[in-house]
Amino acid sequence: MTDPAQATQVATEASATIYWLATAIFVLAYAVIVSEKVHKTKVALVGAALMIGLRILTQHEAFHSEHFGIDYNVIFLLISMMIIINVMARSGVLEWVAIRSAKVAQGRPFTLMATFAVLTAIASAVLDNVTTVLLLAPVILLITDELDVDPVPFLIVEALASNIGGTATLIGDPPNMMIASKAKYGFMDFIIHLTPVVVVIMIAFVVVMKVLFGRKLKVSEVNRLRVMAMDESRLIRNPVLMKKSLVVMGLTVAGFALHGVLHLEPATIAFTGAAVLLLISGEHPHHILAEVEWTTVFFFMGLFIMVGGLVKVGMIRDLSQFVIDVTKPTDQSLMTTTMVMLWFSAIASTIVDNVPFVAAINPLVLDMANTIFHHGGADPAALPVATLHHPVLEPLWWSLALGASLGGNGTLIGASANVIIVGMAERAGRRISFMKFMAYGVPVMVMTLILSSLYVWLRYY
Amino acid sequence: MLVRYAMVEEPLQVSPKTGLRDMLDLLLQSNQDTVAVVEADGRLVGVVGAHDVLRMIVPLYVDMDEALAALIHDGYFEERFASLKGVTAADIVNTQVDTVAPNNTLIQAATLFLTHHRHALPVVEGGKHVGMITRRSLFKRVSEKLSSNSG
Repeated sequence: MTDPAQATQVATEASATIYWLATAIFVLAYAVIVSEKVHKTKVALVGAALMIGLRILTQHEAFHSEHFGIDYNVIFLLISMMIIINVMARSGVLEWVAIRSAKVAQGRPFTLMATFAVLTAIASAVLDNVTTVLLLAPVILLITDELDVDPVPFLIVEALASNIGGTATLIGDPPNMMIASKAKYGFMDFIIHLTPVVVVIMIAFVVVMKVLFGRKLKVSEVNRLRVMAMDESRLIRNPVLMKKSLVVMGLTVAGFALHGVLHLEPATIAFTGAAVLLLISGEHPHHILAEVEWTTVFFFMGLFIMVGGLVKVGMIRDLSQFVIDVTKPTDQSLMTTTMVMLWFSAIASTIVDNVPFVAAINPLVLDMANTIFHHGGADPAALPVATLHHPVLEPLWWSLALGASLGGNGTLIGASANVIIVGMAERAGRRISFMKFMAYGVPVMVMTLILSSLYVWLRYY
Repeated sequence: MLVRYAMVEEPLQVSPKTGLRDMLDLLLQSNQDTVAVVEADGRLVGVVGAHDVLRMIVPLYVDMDEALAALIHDGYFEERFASLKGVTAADIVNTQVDTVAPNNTLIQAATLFLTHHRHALPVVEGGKHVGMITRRSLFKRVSEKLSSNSG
């Protein structure tokens, strides 16, 4: 017979090994992702395989548990939106709108820059940021070339506006999709809580642009008339597909907004939209599905499993306890925790991808909520909505969303949109150095965070 | 037949310092569209063709979105072309070039023409540029040979 005390000790030692093993896998993977020595998707998948292969997670937990494994709410929302957006993007509609806006701005450089910033922000709130800048940056290069002005400020403004705009909605930025899934928020919650502050931030952003560039940008009358003479109808490649995709996109967004009536989750709405568009597009699904960014999708899958391992061994619980000890939240107010969350998320997101960051912080918030509101007595994986949407907890979610998205503006590696823009500028013969980007990015990031702090403070405290 | 028997009779060749205008004159006076850029010691630097001149003129954002070309003002091509005045062969030479050896077979050259979308291939022997084979010179020699055989 085995001594029960001895058996317990063996079990504790085994779980301690597993605890540090899971932590080591995660920290190492995170470090390699930050170093950019190996592609992040490869790292995430190897990390995930280790979590399962070393029995830190069971296969069932990794593939089928919402809490320890892949969050299919996010995966299907992501894939479905990619399908709808790719079909829409191919029609040329965004480029058409961009040239239209340039003509409305009458080719006046500052008006144009501001118009593009607003257009980019709105487009990024609906589309993903990368697609938005991939479509708009060539148009900006065309217009600045025709106007004979330096494209670099326009391009940087484009990246910054895209990150700001993406913050506004549930579908604007992947971290928001992840927060929505874990906190059980709908599309309208984001519109009510985040869109107003993003609008304020955009207004302030345009004012700053005016101060920085208002006087510097000059164009000749001849060049201005060139923009006015552009025939944007030449950019519509497939009018029929454009109409179909716009209708589907419109209905999908309406479906998100009608969550209160339909009671369908965002992933269901987007999945339906994507399926309908595939059916009516008249194109072979092979072409449309081939354009889904599978690399990103698999990165998310690997990441969810890696974070799941950390949650299961209790690492996240210990981190959550640490945050509680430091910021001393009560069930009456999370003010300090919220402000720390806002700024910490932002600073972390300037260096690392905000997706793995939010993936790890989400379960931490759930665990904190469990400790604060249920004294650790509930299951953090299945907290009641009353707890998730508790007025005291709510500002913490919104601070995470604001910090993680707006922090991306700080450096050129802070967000995918920045990396794309810098790459495009380089291909067009205009190198944007790390420091040059920061010279614009850091002040804008700090300004947007100050406005966010004010907003959170005024609205929730 | 080997590549050495199907080369261009008078291959075009310039030094890296040759100006763009002189290169274009050379091209326009011949019926070829590629010129080899060769160092004084006979070493091949690369080739310049109409493609490389177009690359200097067509802006890169059009590569990202071809439809945008329709919105560029008339006269843009001429302006950009005029601005290339000081450009030399060294500035635009394409160094990522496939080459063949004189004793390669015609099917080897033909394969490169087809799969790498080349119109002309420099012929290199012992590191030195010895000539050029084009799609045109290849067909010319083969059909000459066939007619002489049948005749």
